[in-house]
Parts: sequence; C-alpha cells; structure tokens
Amino acid sequence: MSHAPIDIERLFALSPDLLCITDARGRLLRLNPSWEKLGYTIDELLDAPLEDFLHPDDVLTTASVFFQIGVTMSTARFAHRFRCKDGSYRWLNWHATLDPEASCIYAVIRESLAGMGEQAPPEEAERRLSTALQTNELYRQLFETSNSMVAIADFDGYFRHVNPVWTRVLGYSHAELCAVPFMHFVHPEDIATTLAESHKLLGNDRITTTAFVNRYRSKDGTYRWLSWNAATDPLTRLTYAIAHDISDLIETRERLQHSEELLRETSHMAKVGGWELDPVTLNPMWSEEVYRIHEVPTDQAPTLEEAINFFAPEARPSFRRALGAAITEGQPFDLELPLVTLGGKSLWVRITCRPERTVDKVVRLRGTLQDISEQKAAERVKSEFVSVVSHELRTPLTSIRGSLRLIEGGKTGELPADAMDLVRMANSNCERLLRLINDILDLDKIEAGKLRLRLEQLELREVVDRAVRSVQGLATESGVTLSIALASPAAVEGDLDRLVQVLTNLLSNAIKFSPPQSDVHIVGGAGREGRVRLSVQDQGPGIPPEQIPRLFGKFQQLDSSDTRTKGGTGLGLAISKAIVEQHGGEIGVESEVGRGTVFWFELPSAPGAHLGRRRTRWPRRDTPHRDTSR
Amino acid sequence: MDIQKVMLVDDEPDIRKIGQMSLERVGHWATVMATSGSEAIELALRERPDVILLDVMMPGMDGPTTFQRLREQPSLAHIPIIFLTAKVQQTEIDRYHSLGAAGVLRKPFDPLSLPEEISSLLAARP
Repeated sequence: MSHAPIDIERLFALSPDLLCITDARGRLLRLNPSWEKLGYTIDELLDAPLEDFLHPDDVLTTASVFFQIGVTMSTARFAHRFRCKDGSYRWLNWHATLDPEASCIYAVIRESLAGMGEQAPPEEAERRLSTALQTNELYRQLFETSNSMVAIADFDGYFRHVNPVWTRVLGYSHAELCAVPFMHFVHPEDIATTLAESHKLLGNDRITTTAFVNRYRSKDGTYRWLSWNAATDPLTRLTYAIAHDISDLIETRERLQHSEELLRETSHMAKVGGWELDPVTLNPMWSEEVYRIHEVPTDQAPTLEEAINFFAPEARPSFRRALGAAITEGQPFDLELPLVTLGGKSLWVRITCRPERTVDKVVRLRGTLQDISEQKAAERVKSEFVSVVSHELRTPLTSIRGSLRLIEGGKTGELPADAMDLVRMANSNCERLLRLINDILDLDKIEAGKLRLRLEQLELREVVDRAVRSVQGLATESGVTLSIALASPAAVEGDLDRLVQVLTNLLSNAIKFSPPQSDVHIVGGAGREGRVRLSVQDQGPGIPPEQIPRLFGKFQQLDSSDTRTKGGTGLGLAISKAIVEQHGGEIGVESEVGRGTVFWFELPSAPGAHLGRRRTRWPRRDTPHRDTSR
Repeated sequence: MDIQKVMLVDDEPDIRKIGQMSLERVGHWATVMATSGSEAIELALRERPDVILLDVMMPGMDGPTTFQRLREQPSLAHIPIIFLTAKVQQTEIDRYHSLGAAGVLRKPFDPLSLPEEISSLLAARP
C-alpha cells in the first residue's frame, strides 16, 4: 500500500479549528490562520504570552493547567475566555498535549458554540470539571476520600458528580444519583426551601455560598437530614456542595426536646419543680414549675433572700438551718413547709435538696420543690379520721378492759374457775384488739411518712433487755427458754422504743411458733459492712421458701388460722421492716422447713460511738406517756 | 410523795367507775370524782386532792382548759395533774407535757397497775 505524501502544513492551514504550538509556559510559537477569526493578525499573536489575551479571572487557572501539563506530562482539556481584537471575549476550549522531547505543547482549540457572553456551555463545564479532577490529584483524592458528602451539580438541577459517601449514606449508586434531578430526592416538605436556596445561588453573577438543611430520601425510603454548604460558580455553571448527614443529631435533639417537653408536662401535673443554688454566688435557679408554684412570672428571677421569704415566717428559721448545713457540710434535706405565693395563696410545699460535692467542698445544691397542699389536706382528713376512730374505740375498750382486769385481779371478789377462764379469754381478746388498733395507727404513721424517730446513741444490750423483759411472761407460759449471746458492746444510733418494738415483735413471733421446751436464741454482734446485727433464732416449724417473699407485707400471716391461734395482727413484720428501714437498716429472714427460722436485722453502727456516753439528739422524757396496753 | 386523796375528772361514768375502783381497791386511796371541768375546780377547792387525773376530751371545758383554770387558783397551783387521754398523736402528748402536766397516761389504762404508774410519775418529779 502506498500513500500520497501528506502535506501537514496544508492541513494546519486549512483546519477550521484553532491550532497552535506553545512552549511549556504557554507562549504562542506557531498558529494557524484560523486564529485570525479573533481579529488579530498572526504576527500580533506570535511570541506573545498567552496570558496577555486572557480574561483576568482565567489567567491563574490557565497558568496552573499549563504547569500541571508540564508536571504530569499528559493531556489536558480546559477552557478560558480569550480577548478578541475588538475587546470582546470568546470561550475557547483547549485540548492540549505535551511533547516531552520538544518541551512544547500541541493544542487544538475550538471556539465554544454558545461561547458568547459570560457563561460557559455545559459541555465546557464538564470538561472543566474533568480537567480539574484530572489535573489535580490532590483534589481528586480529597473528593474521593472525604468523609463528607461532596457533590458537584449543574444548573439544570442534576448531580454531575458525587463522591462515594453519598452511596454510603443514601444507598444509591453514583449513576442513580446523577440520573434524575436532585430535587427528586428532596423531602416534599423541603422542596420549597431547597428551591429558594438554589435560586439564591443561581440568581447571582458572582460566586455565591449558602448553608441550609433539608431531608433526602434514601434508597430504603427513609429520610436523612442533610446540612448543606453550597457555592456556585456562574462561570462554570456548577454548584459545589458539601453535605453532612445530621440525622442522628436531629434525632437526638428531637428526643431531647421531647423528653424536655415530657418533663415539663409531668412536672406540671405532679406539681414538682427543680431548683439549683450555687453555694458561692448564692444565686438560685428555678425551673418553670417552681415559678408557677410561687405564682412568680418566669422573667422575675428571685434572689435567695426573696426565695426564702416566700416561706411562711415560722418556717424560715428551719429552712435557713437546713440550707446552711447543706451549703457548709453537704447535708441533704427534705422538708415540708408552709409557703405563701406572690399572689398571697397559702400552700404546703415539700422541698428537698441533694448537695453535690467534691472531696472538700460543696459545688452545687440541687433539689425539688413540690406543691403538696392537696396531699396535706387529704392527710389531715385521714389522720383526723384515724385519730377519731382510735379514740372512739379506745374509750369503750377502757371500760371493757378495765372491768375485766378488775374482775381478773380479784378486786370484785372471788369468781368460779370457769367464769375466771371466760374473763381471761375476754381480756386477752381485748388486748388483741388494742394491739390491732395500735398497729393500724403505727402503719398509718409510717405510710404518711410521719414516723418520727427519736434517735439517740444506744447500747444494743439496752434494746435486748427491754424486749426480753416484755416477752418473758409469754415465753414462760409457752415453756420456751430465751438465751442471749451478745458478742461485744455495740452501739447504734436509734429510737429505743421503736427498736424494742421490732425485737419484741420478732421474739413474740419466735416464741409463738416454738414448740414447748425449745430455745429461742438472741444473737447480737457485728453485721455486714460495719453494721450491727441482731438475730432471733427459733426451733419452730420453719417457713416454706415460697411464703418468704410476702412475709413482710401487710396483713400477711402464713396461715389464716394463725390469727386465731397465735393472736397476731399480721402487721408486725410490716411495721418492723418500716422501722428498721427508717433507721437505714435492713431486715431479713432465713428459714428451713423442719429446722427453724432466723429473723435478723442490721443497723448502721453509731458514728464515732463512745460507749457509755449517751448523746441525745432530741429531748427525751424519761417518764414517757407509756402505752399501758403494750 | 405521800398520796392520800386522788381526784379523777372524766365525763364518762364507766371510766369514772373503773378509775374509782382502781384507785380505791388497788391504790387504797381516797377518791374524789368530778364529771366536768367546772365541777373539778369546785371540788378541788373544797377537797384539796393530792393529785388530779384529768381527762382531755370533755364536753364544755376540756382538759387543757380545766388545767389552766386549776393552775390559776393560787391554792391549787401546786397540785400535780396527770392527763388521761385516748389520743395517741405524739404532738398532742407533747402539748400536754409542755403545759406543765406531771405526766400523761394513755387510755385504756390497766386498773391493776394505774396506782403504781401514778406513784412512779409523781416520784419522778423534780
């Protein structure tokens, strides 16, 4: 095959495209006649640096492209605006290739079809994009490896390029994302705002940036919240955008808002608010509900003094004392106090405080304030009812029991033996009725939180001796021997009468369930975690394991016949548990059917206990209003 | 303190009867029975008891008021007064103590031990 000689020069001269050879820095070395379309003679262009003819905005990018071609020894496609002889600009699309040996660049340049005016045509934008991506490895890597969702979109509303994070977040492939207008993915409710933001970007001939948030539908149909930062370059007709998936953040914020709302609602329903006090500045902070309870507008933050003065005058000293101890010693408090609102309404409030402390100082006080006026009124009614009922029951019982006791004591003369038996029976049932009344009153007090302990430093032996004295008669009657083993002197801080009540109750239970000629052991000594432990051990029938959990409930007796045969009220253990727990202690039982039962309770030992020295916290009367019925 | 004569003030006849039997047959004391506060003052002025057992809840003049009236009489001011009450609230009990009572005994009392309790309350007084 033979070829006719090809006249390259002729081809060069005839090409409708602009052809040129430049040096590595863009100096025009050879040009074909097509360049004259731009209004210049070839001579005017020859040897001139290219940058002399470029739009000032395009000089830098063009220079960098030439530099890149030199470094990477490759081909580049790019565009810029070239100034014609008449001063107008035309868009020129370059396809330039380096000849590394000759150190020159061969370029084919085509004038853009829509190359008039200020806007580059879409294909040019694409070219420019690919140029940018190809020529700058660093940017390309940034684009591909960014953890943000990076996108480049055109003015027609399509993504031109998205990085892999998009696929990770939304589940669509690159092609799926670029195939439809991006508005297709936007949540219907967010389309209006997204359009508005887009118009802001597009309606400007300068580079414009914007930041906004919208929801994008992911492939699984759920929506993700995206936070956008977008910038538009009107010259390239491209939007560069970075988005972050903030769904978790929004969800957390919504959950937080929701729980705040719930808290506000429930605190309003429960009439409980929160307060905080800085122990240094002494500036109180109130929650909305605390303002509401005080009937104070939320914009009128009170000073500490003003806050204290809402309490009724008689309540202020005890509040100041408690607050002082909380600030200086970190002592918590829980008080029920009368309060007068800004509007003059009288309320009862419960105010609690839990100081927050570091090793050596109190850093913050936090607490609650609750309007308990309704509870107080109900409590008063219930208390009055219980008190009246108990009074009304006690008055006739005084006569019945008094009469029986006088007869039993022989103060009315001798009775036949069987009559005496009947009197004794009537009498013991009277005692039982009284115990029940007393237990119900105790339980009422416990349930109303009104069981007030008179704490003092006690020696355990004191409790044991008194309880043993009170059940000795019952033990003797039942033929049960009581034995006591106290390991060492042990001091507790407690209410003597109440602790005796607990031990008496455990002892009388043990005696009642003990077979004749058996022993009931009382063992005292060290308990767990530095506590003091007392236990009562019997040789009775034991308690089946399934019945143990309900032992300490109200009106719980293992066998309903116990009520008759053992004479209990079914409240003793419930009351004992409440008393022990109010002491900060614990009560429990271990039992084995056929082997016997051990009831035990543990109390915190007295702080810095010095035996023999009695410290009385509350004034104590040595000759108390003794309840003769017990 | 040597007790010869005890006055019991109570509006309930049954309780007066049991109290009287207890004081006389167990305590072996002379007794004066009053059915109301005003009668108590009148009888106390006349009979000069060594100790007064005073019911709290009585129609008309109640126990604490009677207590004050008795105290206002110079010739009676020294007589120890013990309240008898079927009330059990601690605040109530504390209130009677704070009035200056020699003691508070709860109803129902045991007639067999009532005199002993009165004696020990009086013995414990400063």
